[in-house]
Amino acid sequence: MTATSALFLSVFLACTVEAVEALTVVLAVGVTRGWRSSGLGVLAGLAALAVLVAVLGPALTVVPLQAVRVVVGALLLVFGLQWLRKAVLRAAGRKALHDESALFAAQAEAARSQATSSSSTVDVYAFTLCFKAVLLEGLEVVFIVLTFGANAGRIGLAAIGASAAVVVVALAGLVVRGPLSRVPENQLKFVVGVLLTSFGMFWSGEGAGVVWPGADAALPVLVVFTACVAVGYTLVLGARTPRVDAAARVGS
Amino acid sequence: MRALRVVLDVVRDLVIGDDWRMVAGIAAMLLVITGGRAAGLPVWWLPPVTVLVMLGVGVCSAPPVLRRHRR
Repeated sequence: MTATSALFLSVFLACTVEAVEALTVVLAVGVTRGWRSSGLGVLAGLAALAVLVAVLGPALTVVPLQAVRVVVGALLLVFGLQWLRKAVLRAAGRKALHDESALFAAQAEAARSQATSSSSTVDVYAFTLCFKAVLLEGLEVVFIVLTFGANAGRIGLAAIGASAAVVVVALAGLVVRGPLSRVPENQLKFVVGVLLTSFGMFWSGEGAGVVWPGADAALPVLVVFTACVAVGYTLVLGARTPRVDAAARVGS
Repeated sequence: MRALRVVLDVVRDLVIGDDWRMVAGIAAMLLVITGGRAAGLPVWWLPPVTVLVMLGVGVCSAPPVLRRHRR
């Protein structure tokens, strides 16, 4: 393997990992909260990243990435835990499930009646989550390009490798977006809660100085752990929640 | 002044949400991690334990309600 192809492959793989992390958050938020605000968050994140790169250039390497990780990770962890808590309560029967058909009909009606004003509303939650994910992972991609590229004296080639990774991951995201949209809302929110919590744990911990066993390989383990914890609480709470016959409730 | 209050309300709703204990638990976790790292202790287990505890506190303190059972 030549030095050129080794550099390209290293940057491509490293940036693919970062892009997949951002894509996971964007897809999860987009499917559950809507694509418009999520897309705006992505665009704003990319714009902020472009401004940072244009203004700072190679000086970006002095940005305290650890501090960025702590802040972004802690916020993701807060959002994830709040989301997961509600998802567990719904799945265990302690919180009303959203009636998705009725909700869709109500939202469609509201959208029709407020067709002019709806275009100006932005879901701050979805926007913020996507903005942060894209900005943080984008910064990491830039760092990879600068460090790998500068070490090899070929920043241009490193940038091409990173761009290829981002394009491939973005195309993959467009492909899986459709099938994801057909997953029932409540199950999807459960999964999103698990993902946000896991990413939040990983990033905030890493930023605060945690050395994860296995480095990046710890992330999927955290996802499995969080899913098991959430399912466990759902089963325990569900068993403790008294049941009442739906027909009896309707008749009463 | 009113605009600032609106912004602060949005930030508070966004960050704290409906359970302030989550934020408090995560802040405590970060402090303990920082202290543990300074003391040279392994702290990688703290975030998973925090999630286990905080999620348990959040879901177990929710009021019990009757749920529908479909036949």
